[in-house]
Amino acid sequence: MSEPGATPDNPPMTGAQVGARRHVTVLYTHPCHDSFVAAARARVVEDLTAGGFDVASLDLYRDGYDPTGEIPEAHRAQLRRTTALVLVYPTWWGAQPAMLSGWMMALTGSGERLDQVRQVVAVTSHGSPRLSNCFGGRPGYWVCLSGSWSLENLRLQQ
Amino acid sequence: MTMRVAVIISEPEVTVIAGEVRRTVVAALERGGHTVTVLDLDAERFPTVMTAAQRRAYLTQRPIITTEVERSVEVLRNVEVLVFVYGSRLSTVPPRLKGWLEQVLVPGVAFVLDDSGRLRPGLGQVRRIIGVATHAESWWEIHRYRDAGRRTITRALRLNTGLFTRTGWTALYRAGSATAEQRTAFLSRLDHRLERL
Repeated sequence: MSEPGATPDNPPMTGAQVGARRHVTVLYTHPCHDSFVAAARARVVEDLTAGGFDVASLDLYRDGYDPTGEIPEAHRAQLRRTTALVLVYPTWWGAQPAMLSGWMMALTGSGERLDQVRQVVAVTSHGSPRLSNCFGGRPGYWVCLSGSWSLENLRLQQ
Repeated sequence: MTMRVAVIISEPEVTVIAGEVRRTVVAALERGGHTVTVLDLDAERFPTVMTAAQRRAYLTQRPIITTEVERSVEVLRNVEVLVFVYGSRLSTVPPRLKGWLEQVLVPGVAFVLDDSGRLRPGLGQVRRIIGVATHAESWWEIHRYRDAGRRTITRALRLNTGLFTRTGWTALYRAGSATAEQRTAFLSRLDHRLERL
C-alpha cells in the first residue's frame, strides 16, 4: 500500500499495518560503540525484531559516510525496501550530529522518492535537562520534521 | 567601540551571493574598526565530524586533540563577537558548521563546571552573536520549521555565552531567484548592521 499520492491527511498507520510490511531501517549515528546511544540502538533493534519486524541497521560512522557527499548506493537500496525509518542519535548542540544532518540533507536533496516510507521515528538522548533544551529551542526536532516532510510528507513520532 | 570579531563561514555551495555576503561582512566590520579573524570552514577543509577519539577525549580533562580544533578554540577565546555566515539546508546550518560546533565547543571552552558541579557558560566574554543566513527557500518555508539554524546559533549556543549577549540576525530568502534589487537591499542592510555592530 505505497500510494505515491499519500497526503499528510492520511492517518498514520497503526503498528499492525506497519507490521504487515515489516521492513524497518534503524539508522544509528554515534562514533563510539560503547555509548548510551549504542545501547539504545541495541534495544530498538531487539524490540523491533521481537515485534516481528524485518530490521536492517545502518551505521553512518561504521560506513565512513562523508556528510558533505552523496548517499551511498547501499543506503539508497536499503531505503527503497523500508517502510519505516528509525533515527537513533545523540542530540549535540540542540540538533542532530553533523554526520546525520549531512546524510538527511543529501537524502532530501537527492530527489530520491521514498513514497513507501510512512514513518520516521527519532530516538535521541540529550546531555542537558528538558528545561535547557526548551531554552535552546530544540532545533533538532524541527530539522527532523523538516527533513521528513520533504521526504514525501511523513508523520513524525518522537 | 572596536571589538575583536570572529567570522565563521560555511557556504558549501559556491554561489555569487555567498561571495558577495562574505566580502560585505568582512569589509563592513573592518570599516567599523573591528579586528576581524575569518574562519572559512570549507576553504580550510575543517574536519566535518567528531571522531571516536575526539568523543572519548570530550569526556576527559583534555578534550582538544587536533590542531584544527586548537586553532579555532584559540580564536574563540579571544573574541567578543561571533558572526556566523552560512547557506542553509533543511532550514538548518550546513554539516560542516554543525561539526565545527560539536568539535570546538567542548568542556572547558563552551562551558565549565563550577565548584558545586553546575554548568556555567564558558564564553562569557562574547557580547554579540550575529547570524547571516542565505536560504534557497522562502521565509514561510524556513519558519514553518522554526528556522532551526537560527535556533542552534542564537539559542542553543547562546546558553553558553554571557547573560547579556545580544543576538542579531540577517537573512536572505529565495536566494537563488532573488532579483538584483533584492540582493542589493540585503547586502546594504547587512553592511549597515555590521558596521555598527
